[in-house]
Formats: sequence, structure tokens, C-alpha cells
Amino acid sequence: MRPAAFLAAAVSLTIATSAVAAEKLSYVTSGGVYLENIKKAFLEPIGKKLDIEWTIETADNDTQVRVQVASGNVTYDIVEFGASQCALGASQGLYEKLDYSIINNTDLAPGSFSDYYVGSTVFSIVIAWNTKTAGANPPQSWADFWNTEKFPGTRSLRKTARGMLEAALMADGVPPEKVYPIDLDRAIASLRKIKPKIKAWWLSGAESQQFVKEGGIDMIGAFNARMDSVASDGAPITYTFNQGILDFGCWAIVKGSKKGDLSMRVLAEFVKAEYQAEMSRLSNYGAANTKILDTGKISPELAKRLPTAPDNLKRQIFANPEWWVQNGAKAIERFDQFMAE
Amino acid sequence: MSTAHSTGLPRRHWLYSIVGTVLLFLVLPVCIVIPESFSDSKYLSFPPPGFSLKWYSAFLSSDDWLSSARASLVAATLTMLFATPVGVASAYAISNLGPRFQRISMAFILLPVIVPSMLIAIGIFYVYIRLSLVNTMLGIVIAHSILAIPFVIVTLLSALRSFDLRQELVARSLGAPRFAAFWRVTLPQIRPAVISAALFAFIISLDEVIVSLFVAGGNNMVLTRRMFVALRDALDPTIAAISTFFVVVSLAVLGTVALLSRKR
Amino acid sequence: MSDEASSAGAIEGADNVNVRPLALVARRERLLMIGLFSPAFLLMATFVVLPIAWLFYLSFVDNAQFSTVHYSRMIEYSSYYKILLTTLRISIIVTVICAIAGYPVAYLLAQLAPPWSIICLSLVVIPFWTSLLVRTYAWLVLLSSNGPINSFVEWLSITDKPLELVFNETGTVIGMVHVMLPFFILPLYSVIKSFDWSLIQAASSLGAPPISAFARVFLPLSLPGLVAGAVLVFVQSLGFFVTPAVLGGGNVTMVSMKIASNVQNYFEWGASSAFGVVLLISAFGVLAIAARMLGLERTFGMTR
Repeated sequence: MRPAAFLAAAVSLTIATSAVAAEKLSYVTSGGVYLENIKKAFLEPIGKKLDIEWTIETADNDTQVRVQVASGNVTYDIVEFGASQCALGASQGLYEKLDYSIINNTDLAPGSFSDYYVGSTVFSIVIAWNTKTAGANPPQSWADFWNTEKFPGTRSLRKTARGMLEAALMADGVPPEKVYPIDLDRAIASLRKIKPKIKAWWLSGAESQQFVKEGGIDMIGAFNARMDSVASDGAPITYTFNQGILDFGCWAIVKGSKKGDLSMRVLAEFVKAEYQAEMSRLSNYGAANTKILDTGKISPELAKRLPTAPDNLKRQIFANPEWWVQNGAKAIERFDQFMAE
Repeated sequence: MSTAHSTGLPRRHWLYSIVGTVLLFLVLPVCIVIPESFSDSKYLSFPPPGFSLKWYSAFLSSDDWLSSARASLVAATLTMLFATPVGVASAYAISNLGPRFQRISMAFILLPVIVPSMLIAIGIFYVYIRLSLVNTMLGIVIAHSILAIPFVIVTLLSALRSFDLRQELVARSLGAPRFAAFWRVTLPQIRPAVISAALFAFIISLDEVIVSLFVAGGNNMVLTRRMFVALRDALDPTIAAISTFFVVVSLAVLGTVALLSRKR
Repeated sequence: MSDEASSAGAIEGADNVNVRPLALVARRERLLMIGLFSPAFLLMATFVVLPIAWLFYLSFVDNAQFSTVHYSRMIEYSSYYKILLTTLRISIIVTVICAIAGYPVAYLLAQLAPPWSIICLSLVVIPFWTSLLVRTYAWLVLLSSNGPINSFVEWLSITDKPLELVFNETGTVIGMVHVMLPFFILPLYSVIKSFDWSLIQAASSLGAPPISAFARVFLPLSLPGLVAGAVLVFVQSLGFFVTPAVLGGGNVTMVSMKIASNVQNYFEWGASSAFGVVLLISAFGVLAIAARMLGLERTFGMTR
């Protein structure tokens, strides 16, 4: 091809591509396998439908959101974090108010949405154990987990207040339905009893998997989907949904986003059962949308393993978002204090 | 083993065994990183259960990892190109100044080494938020340069001290302009120190974690930051593959430098 | 020190010979030097001194008013005190281990002839070329209860239970010593290397037994290098973040971790800054003592 012709072709090509250029929207979440599934279940189909070109960024915390809101230079649009981060951010004015005339929340699980965020995936902190070392006599409740004499073995818990305070109360004999409002003193006192027996506290899901696979941990309070995946990799791990503590991920629109309207329309798609069902199918996570089973995408086998399956749901408790919004900061401070003891 | 000095100082077998143990301790983690990168397990386990190249292909086929590798290499190169001349100028100035001034300037220059890095990190982060420098390449290069400059200066100062500055004076008295005298007389003699200072700057930038956790995200997420984030998601041997890759890159840089300096 | 002074003096002296003794020349020389120094100066002032001054200010502000609440909270809650204590304890242990393990290495290294000296020196610097993060996770693998080190110990049948080497302070200290050891060995090595060995030879030729030659001559000579290295290790240890976060398994909290979590999760600048100021004062305190003992330049390893 002659240079001039080549140039002309190149120019026309750029014009052509810019003519169909989709609108850009940024999506922020933690990366890795989770993001891969989010792409397949949500971003790709919805991007096609609404003609959106995604700019995906990974972030392990919401610091960037704070930076952008504080500096007024907002480049993020939609973010996905854990519910505690969404709730904290919402109370600090990091997110836009959601318009529920656009987003249909009728099918969403109660408590999984608020004025500033909507639920994405639902997961549970469950009691898991190594079937080789603890399989003969596995713990079936947090009280068992706390009872190191009857249930010997090395233990690991999550290094966060959310979830662990609830577990500590149940271990101390508080019935699941009476966990909220959390009695902080009692919860910390209960945690203090188990602390000397905790070999390691995990922070990330990856750590919890490494701990049970290679780290010599016999019993752990960890995310159900993480334990599923480590089991499917051949580790002798199983778990019970008994007294599992359900929590959820959530989407929010960053305050000052330049694509607020489009983001709202995207969230309206995100909460639909068809996409959320696909995510559950890919990831073993439950969904905030309670109608995912009606889509026919979930096999009966998988349905049984989801934390949101009716049989499992009734054995677990939901981390109470309202309590955490109001008391989260204080609870986290107390937990941090306790961890440093 | 022969020794350079026969001093009659205590040199017994236990000394060799202590030193051997310490050296083994130092290289042990490095020794497992390379085999780990060829593991076929999804988890970090040693010895690796089987051989596989999948973690290299995971690295090389991922846009995220590659863009981070690019960001890291660009940041390290720019840091080297920025911190080295700034450091050379400062070291030259310090070695030419009076002792009182030297003392003050050194205390100042060494601040980044003395101040705990987390404090530097949140301090820079705080300023960057106001200057909109967070996640910009300029911001990363400035931050990494600040951490690298003390090492550059200390390296050069010791070289300048062993160099007789009167040589430069002779050149000047023979009519050479000041800069030319420095360029032609002083610089060639301290060149090995300049090269090792530049390498220092490169490595410091490449390996920096804490400041990068705060200021090197977004489109300029450097490798260390991405590794830190990725490790929360999956503790798999990808990081070992990347690290092995970087050992190779570092060795290549070193080798090139060695070759170049031999040629001249 | 006297070295630089004399060469600086020599420059001025030479100028006096070559040029007419004009104060102007000396002043221009000074201005040029200050000009050359200014880029580094401005960088440090803008991005190190200014932010830290700012953080210092923030540590005394609460709700836009002067307040010592961030400091009183540290006294009120024992956890801050405990975190600080843990940080100091770990830093001291790491420093002591680095000194004990590093001194023989530098000592022997300085006496070796090539190629052994080159081989050993590269073994010391090899960790520099491997990412800090990766090294830390490598230790996680090495130290875990079914990792290679425990398998080895089991094979030796020293203990029947695996050693608790990780997810605690032990693991943290091992990881930190590994990071800091080269920083201790290298400056000390260059100090010892520059010794006047004839002195030591003289001592032994005068009949001093090896041990006493070492204790009376060698050790005092290397003391500045030893202290400089130890101070560097201690001050750097105070600010560790990655190693305790990974190898501590949640059981070890150091000051930097608390500062980072306050800033990242709550944007709590005041509390972080106050804690940071306390950390900084600890670091400066140690430096001041070392400087008083040895003179500032030696503390920074500036002596050849």
C-alpha cells in the first residue's frame, strides 16, 4: 500500500471507530477472579446493551474515592465495595443518593440496599474445618468453635470487627435473633477468651485460603465461596452454614460523578435477577436479588450451596447494616484496641 | 579460603560457619522464589508439586500486570534519570561547602532515611491530594526520587571524598570553564559511583511499596502496588513469576552497565 | 571530616593564588554551590518537611480547633501505648540480631580476597534484587507449620510439634532481620575495609593474643560503623509495614499499620498524625543520642 493510501485508510479507520465510540464509564472494584466474574456477568452484557465502554480500575480500599471527593476531581463513576465500606462512605457523604424510581428494588433482599448503595453479591462467614484433622468431630456452632477442649485444633478468624463480634456473641450463648444490638463489652470479652487460641487472623480471602491449604489451620471462620474454591482445588475442607454471618457487596455512585444519570441506569441493570443469577452461577456467591432462582440459570445443585438458598438462609444471620452504620466506627475502634492487647 | 590480611585476629571455623549460616539465611527466600514461579499449584507451597509455565503466561497475558510492569519500569527509569543528576549536583555542592554547611545539608538530605516511611507516605499523600498529583507519573517519580536521592548522594559523597578536587582546579586554572572541568576531569573519575548511584535509584523505585500504596494507583498502578492488591485476592505464584522476571531484568541492566563501562 | 575541610580550604587557597583575593569570587562560588544544592533542597522541603510540619499541625487540630484530643486518646486507650511498645520492642530485637549476625559477616567479608569477597558480597546484596513483597511471602511459605523449615526440623526430630515460626512476632522479626541485614552489613563492611590493618598487625606482633587484639584494637575501631548501622536499622525498623502485616498473621500490630488503617479507612488524619509524631520523636530521640555519642556525620555513615 502506498503511504498516502495507507494514511487515508488509517484516518478513515479512526473516524469510523470514533463515530461508534461508546460512552465511557469507570468501574472500580477489587481485582482478580472476582473481577473476572463481574466482567462476564455484568460489565460485558450491560456494556453491550447500553453502549458503554468500561474503564476498569482495581482498588483494595475506598481511599481513592475519598481523595477524589475531597479534591473535587472525580474520575470514578461506579464503585463496588463491601457493605461496611459502602455504609461508612455513605455516612461520610462519599456517594450520590440513589433514585429508586429508576432502580427497581422490589426484589432485593431487605437490608441489602439503602439510599446510597445497592447490594451486589451476598456471602457468608461460615465455620469451616479440615476434614482430615477435625473431620471426626467438627464444630457445628460458634460455641463449638470457641470450645477448644472438646474441639481441639488450630484456629483462624477474620481480623475485622464486622462478623467477628456477631460470632463472639453467639459463641457466648446469645441466640442468633438477639445478636443485635451488639453488646460490645460482652462480644469483646468473648473474643478475649478465644484470642490465645487463634493461631492467625486473616485479612483477605486469599490469606484464609492459604492458611487452610498450606498454613496448618484446622478450623476457620471464612467466606463460603473461598472455602468452596479451595475445596475444589483438592484441599480437605468443608463447612456448615450453621450460624453463618451473611454480608454483602454493594454498588454506589461516587459523589460528583460526571456520568451520574448513566450510572443510575447501569445500577438499574445491575440489580436485575438475570445478571445476578449469572454471577452466582460463576462465583458461588449469593445475590441481593431474591428472584435469581426464577431465572432458570441456577442448577438445583448449586442452589443448595448458595448462602441465600432458603434452607441455608434460615440457619444464618444477616450482618445488620443499620447497626453497623450507627455503631461501626466505635465497634471497629474497640476491635482494634482488642487486637492490640 | 585465603585472606587479604594476615592479622592474627580470631579466624576460626566457627566464624566461617556463622557467616555461612547468615549468608544462607539471606539467600534462602530468593532461592525458593524461582522454583516457586514454575509451580503448577494455585497456592504458595514448597516444594512445588509440579512444573508449569502457567504463571508466566498469566503474567504476560494480563493487561493489568503488563501495564503495571510498564508503569514500574517507566517510573524507575524516570526516577533514575531525575534523582541521579540532582544527587550528583548536591553531592558536588556539599563536598565543596564548608563543614558547618555540610552538616546541616546532610541532616536535611538524609531526612527521608530517618523519617519512618509510613509518615513520609501519608505526608506526601496529603500534599498530593491538594496538588492533584495522586496517581500521576510525575507524582510517583517525585516521591520515588525523594527516597532515592539520599542514597545517591551518600554513594557519590564517598567517591568525591576519595577524589582530589584540586585536579578540577588545575583544569580550571588552565582555562577550562567550570562545567567543562567538572565534565571532563571530575565526572570520569567518579563514574563508577555515578553508575551505582543510578542503579540504586532504579532499584529503590522499582521495589518501593509503602509510598506507592498511597500515590501510585489508577492508570499508573506500579507493580508493587498491584502485587499488594492481587495478594489479597489470590496468593498464587504469579508474584513469584514476576519477581523472577525482575531478577532477570535487574541482572540484564547490571550486565549492560558492566559491558558498557568495560567498552570505554 | 578534616579531609573535606582541608580540601575546601585548599580550593579557597588555590583561588587566592590564581585569582586576586576577591570576596566576590568566594561569594560566587558559594552561590553556585547553593544553586547546585537547591533542587534537592527544594524537593526535600516541599515533599518531606512541609508535609510533616502539616501533619504535626493536624495532630493538634480537631473539628478546626486547637485540641490535644489525638494525644490524650493515645494515653486513654492502652492499645496505642501497646502498639508503640510492640514497635519499639521488635525494632530493638531486630537491631540486636542484625548486629550479632551482621558483624561477623562484615568482619570476615572485609578480610576475604577475591573471588571469595565478591561471591560473599553478592550473596549479601542478592535480596536487594528480589521484590520486598515477594521475599516476605517467601518467608510465609518457608516458615509455615508444614513448610520446608519445619519439615527439616521434624526430619532432624528435634521436636514432635512444628515450631510456631510465623503469624507471630517471631515471624515478623525473621522477616525484618532479612530486610535490614544488608543495610547493616554493607556500611560496616566499608568501615572495616578502610581500616589501617597495620595497626592490628602491630598489636599482634607486639604479642597481643588474637582475642585481646580484637577486643582492644579492632572492636573500638569498628564501633562507629557498628553504631551507625545499628541506628539505621533501628530507625528503619520503626516504620515497618509490609512485613508485620504479612508475617504477623494479625497478631502483631506496629505503628505504621495503625497509621495506614486510620488514613486509608477513615481518612483520620489527626489521629494518624499524632501517632506519627510520636514515632518520629522516638526515631529522632535515638538519633540524637547516637549523634551525641559519635558526632552526626559518623551516625550517618559518612566517615570512610
